[in-house]
Amino acid sequence: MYVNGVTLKNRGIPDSHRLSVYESTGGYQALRKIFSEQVTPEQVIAEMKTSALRGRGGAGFPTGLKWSFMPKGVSGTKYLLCNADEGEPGTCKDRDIMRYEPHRLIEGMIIGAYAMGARAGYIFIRGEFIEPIRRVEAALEEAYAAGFLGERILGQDFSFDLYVYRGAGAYICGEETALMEALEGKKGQPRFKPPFPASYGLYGRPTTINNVETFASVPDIIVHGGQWFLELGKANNGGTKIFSVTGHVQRPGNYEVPMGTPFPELLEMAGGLRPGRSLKAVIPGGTSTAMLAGDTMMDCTMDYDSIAKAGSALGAGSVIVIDDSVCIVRVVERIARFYMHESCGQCTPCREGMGWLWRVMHRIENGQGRAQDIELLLNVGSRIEGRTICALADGGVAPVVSSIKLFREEYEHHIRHGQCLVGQRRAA
Amino acid sequence: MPHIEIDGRELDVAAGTTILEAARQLGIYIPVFCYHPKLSIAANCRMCLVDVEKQWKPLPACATPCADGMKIQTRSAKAKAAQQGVLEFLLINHPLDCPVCDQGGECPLQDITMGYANPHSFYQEEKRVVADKDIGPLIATEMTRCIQCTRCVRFGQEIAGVMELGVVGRGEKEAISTYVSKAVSSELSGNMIDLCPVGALTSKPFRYKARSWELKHTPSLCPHCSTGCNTDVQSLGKDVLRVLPRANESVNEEWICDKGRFAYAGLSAEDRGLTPLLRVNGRLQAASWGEALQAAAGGLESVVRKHGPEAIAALISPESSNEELFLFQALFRALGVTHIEHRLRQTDFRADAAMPLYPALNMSLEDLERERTILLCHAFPREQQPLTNHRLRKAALAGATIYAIDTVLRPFNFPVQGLCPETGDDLGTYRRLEELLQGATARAEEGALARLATALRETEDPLLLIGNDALQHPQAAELLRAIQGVATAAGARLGWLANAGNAAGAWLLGCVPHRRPGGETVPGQRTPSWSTAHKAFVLYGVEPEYDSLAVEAAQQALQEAEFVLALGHFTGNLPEQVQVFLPLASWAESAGSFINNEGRLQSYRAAVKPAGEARPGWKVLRVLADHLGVAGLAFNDLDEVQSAWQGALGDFPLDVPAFAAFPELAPEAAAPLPEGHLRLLGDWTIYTADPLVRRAAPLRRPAVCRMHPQDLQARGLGSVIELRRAGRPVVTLPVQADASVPRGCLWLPLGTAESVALGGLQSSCTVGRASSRQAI
Ligand SMILES: Cc1cc2nc3c(=O)[nH]c(=O)nc-3n(C[C@H](O)[C@H](O)[C@H](O)COP(=O)(O)O)c2cc1C
Ligand code: SF4
Ligand code: FES
Repeated sequence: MYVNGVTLKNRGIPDSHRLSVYESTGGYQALRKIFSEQVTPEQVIAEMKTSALRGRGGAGFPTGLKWSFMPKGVSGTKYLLCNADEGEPGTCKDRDIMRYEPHRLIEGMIIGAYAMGARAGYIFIRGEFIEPIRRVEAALEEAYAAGFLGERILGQDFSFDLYVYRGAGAYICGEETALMEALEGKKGQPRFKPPFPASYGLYGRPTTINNVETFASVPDIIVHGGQWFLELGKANNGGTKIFSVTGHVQRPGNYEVPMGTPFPELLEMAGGLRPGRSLKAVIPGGTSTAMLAGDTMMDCTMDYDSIAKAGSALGAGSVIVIDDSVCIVRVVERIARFYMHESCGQCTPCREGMGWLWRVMHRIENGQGRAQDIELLLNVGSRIEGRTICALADGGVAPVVSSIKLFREEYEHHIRHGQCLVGQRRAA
Repeated sequence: MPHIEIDGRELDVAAGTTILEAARQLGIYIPVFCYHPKLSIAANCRMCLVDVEKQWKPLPACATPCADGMKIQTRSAKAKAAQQGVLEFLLINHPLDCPVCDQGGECPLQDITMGYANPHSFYQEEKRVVADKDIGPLIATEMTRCIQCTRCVRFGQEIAGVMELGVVGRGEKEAISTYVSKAVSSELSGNMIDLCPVGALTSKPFRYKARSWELKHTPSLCPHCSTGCNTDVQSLGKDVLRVLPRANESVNEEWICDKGRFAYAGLSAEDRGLTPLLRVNGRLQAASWGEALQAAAGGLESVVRKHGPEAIAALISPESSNEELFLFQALFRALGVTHIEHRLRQTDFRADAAMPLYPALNMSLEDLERERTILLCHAFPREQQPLTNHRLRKAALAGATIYAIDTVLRPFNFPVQGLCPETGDDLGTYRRLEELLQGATARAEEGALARLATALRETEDPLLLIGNDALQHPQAAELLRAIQGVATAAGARLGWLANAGNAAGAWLLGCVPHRRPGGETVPGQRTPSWSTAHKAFVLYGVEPEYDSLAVEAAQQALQEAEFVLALGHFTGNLPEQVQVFLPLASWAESAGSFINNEGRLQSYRAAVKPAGEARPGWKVLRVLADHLGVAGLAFNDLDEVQSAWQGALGDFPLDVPAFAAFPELAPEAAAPLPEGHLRLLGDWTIYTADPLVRRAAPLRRPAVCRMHPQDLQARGLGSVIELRRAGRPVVTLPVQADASVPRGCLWLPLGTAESVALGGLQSSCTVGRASSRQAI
């Protein structure tokens, strides 16, 4: 199996974040190939389409298609942004790419800029990521010094400047248009779409934004071809993908495996469950995605289509494993608090609804639940879902509604007896 | 052209039309909170969600552009569920204190709740409480009621041009706030009260005065500047309780400035003149109308007998109605009075012959938005014509380049390339600009002026606007001629920013010494001023000390008068020489008409009964005419007065030459300043510009003077200074450093007790630290 072979290829090599190491392992060959073989921007985009690479930031939008939306022949600056805000609870993959493979990200962005005619780019990094920020900044310096960035890159008629922007710690700034607002120096809150970033993005200019892992996949696609990448995975789900496996496993961490890898294999890689425990549930793509029952999950393969068919989403690939030792009400109460805290506040249903959901969850968890509370949660959720500007609100509803569907008896027990059905913890 | 269907009705719309706009075209109502046609689209309240075929999510009508073939339902089960859901979310944390909320009865949240909400709420948690903010004397806040629609925030950024309110916090802690507890100070701030769809921002002066449905609405006009904003005067019984904008896209759109909105508070000032007064044994005492009119006529007749009618000066406020202005000049011209004047804010009248028929903008306010290059000549419309200024701001936002030449530059709310010579030689600036336009080579230090010359030369048909400060200039005649020189050299059009509410009417209806109604010249008329001795004064709606540029001269002239008759609204600032006072009904208490800066004739009705025994000005003038034996003015109603002035004026053009030929101007050498003295500059501020607004308590702001920072430093001055002039009381004022004040000058706010004490702008003063009490 092709494990850790694309975006985390060099993770084990000492000083893998340095330019010399990256170049000695084939780094910047994709960029050089583009120039030496005179690959056109259109051919780059065609290759991306062939690869069936889908955005690794969560929504899984086909990258080649997104790149083809950038208008051609417009005057003025076009921007390329990298979303390195990595805020989704459970996700920690972009962090490792930036720590160990910053040049792979930079090379991917340079190729993207070439393909889309972007003149300037920003890498918006989550503010708490001190080490990754330092590494990316150092890598940018190296790349500038080596002529990979700036005016007339490698002597070609192509210039691209790239900067790091340090975020200030709001989950919502990972949403692409909120990220642009924040970059512009405003309060980070999503914009209504349309217009889409490709026509009205950063500073109102055509803009494309991709996730760190998306960009880091690009160099190998160019070197080995889109078809090669596609065949690593499966149709419509090209390549490999990093899964950040956390929760009740013995070796939590980032595992880059081919799309379509059966979930049991991934679980095995992560050390499997603790002895004597059974798999209760899995949140397959970060807390914004619906919870799936353990059994369902064991039948899934790790790719967008399989997880979608099971009723959830692959999201950013943040697999949270939950064994039979915990009370689901407690898990969801904590998740609900996160969404209340992180709602940007502009949309009425999200601003008011996230807090409402949490308050009901909180009183159930604390033994003060009321008979109608389960219906209330479902009802409030149904009035939030699909009625807001961005997907945060839907993400906040998903764990509540999906967990009620799967573990209704735990909720009922909590309400009736004021304590957990599962686990030792007595409610207050 | 997308073809769409809303609730089964088909329609073709222009590309880019939103669902909401299309629905409005069909007369289909969709509830909204955050949407406002004059503001950017935020799409945050989600109240306007509608059901669009083939979309699993309901879409916000306000923000979704129509696509061809769209089928939209505004009242389907899905749409209704979305609307009910949003309303419930809006209400869970809303206090529902409607019985004690001033917004009650005119509250979109209340109305839409009645129409769209599910009467049952499932919410049983505690409600959120938001700390209130004190954002100044005009806007009362009750932030717990806020629904975070951000209309006020967008208004500040997009319309007022100053971001004073913003959103702080996130999620359910999101709140509207000023930056670090500052007060809101924009001159357009009151509009946020109207925009707020709930009772979060309400009018502080109106607070708890009445329920909205009890109020009588009277369509009216704002008398306070030449924009002529349309207003809705709302009253209960005999009291005006508030003034709101009345929408008129061609004039004020749907805004008014805070002066127009809150000045009504002055109507009930303590010194409101409620009865006629007569001076008996040196003191003014209440008298009957009969006695007072007799005394007024007697006093005037005696002066005419002894000194001839030329010894009378008749001064009228340019905020008077056309009817008052016409009758006023007709009455006094019939007596033979030659000095009929509305221009107390001018001291240099040498260019009178060159003045236009009236100060016309020479274009519509709407057209102002489409200008590309504008030079503001001694104008600060932000305070002087706030909603005309709004059109300039729109022009600037649409890409116009706006320049300003002035003695002192003031803070505009849009980008302005300002030129104000540090030497104070503003006249020289225009003259030099003319030379540059004629091809002179710019000197190294003239970069900004040279750029302006290039811009004027390169723009086809640039526009020059002449503002209040030009007429107030000590060398107004030369200044105006220099402005004309620039316009000619640049091939520019000229327009006037008329300097008072009905200045256009005052000019057109002959309230200047040298012109009769319609502009006919009075032959041989030398233009007098305060410095010409008069034996009697008639003061109509003016307070000479507060409304004139030359306070000291006015005071001296009044001292020499044998008889002073005042007709007006207030008694507090009556000069001590006034022997008879006749109380006038205010604009809110009488009917009439004004002509605005565009030449637009607009009329208004009386909203309330006159206070006390005050009477509408036209009636008082008519009866006074009877007492003085002046025939031909025996009008029975306002319509007759209106026909009379319209007959005398005839049709007047909207586009008038900005200047007639200038007379020969003898060069005047400015007297050098005594050693150590500062030259006085100044202007009325937005809230000191007329007797009514000066009395509006909520609009009162502390007077602050301004000096160049280097002058302050060189003299070792702190933040409060003493101003001294020989023979006058010492005045203490806070001082602000302002690098645009020319060196050696001091900028004084006029229309204030301080400027009156100091004697106005005519001379110079010395300054010193307030604490040390030692003049420098
Ligand atoms: C609330 C919210 C938070 C998000 N946070 C992130 C994030 O931290 N990182 C990220 O790459 N994408 C995040 N996204 C997804 C981005 O909006 C966007 O889809 C993504 O950056 C596009 O890149 P991709 O096409 O390469 O996936 C978030 C979306 C939402 C709605
Ligand atoms: S859904 Fe929530 S987080 Fe997203 S824009 Fe609306 S209020 Fe902000
Ligand atoms: S009116 Fe459309 S979202 Fe507020």
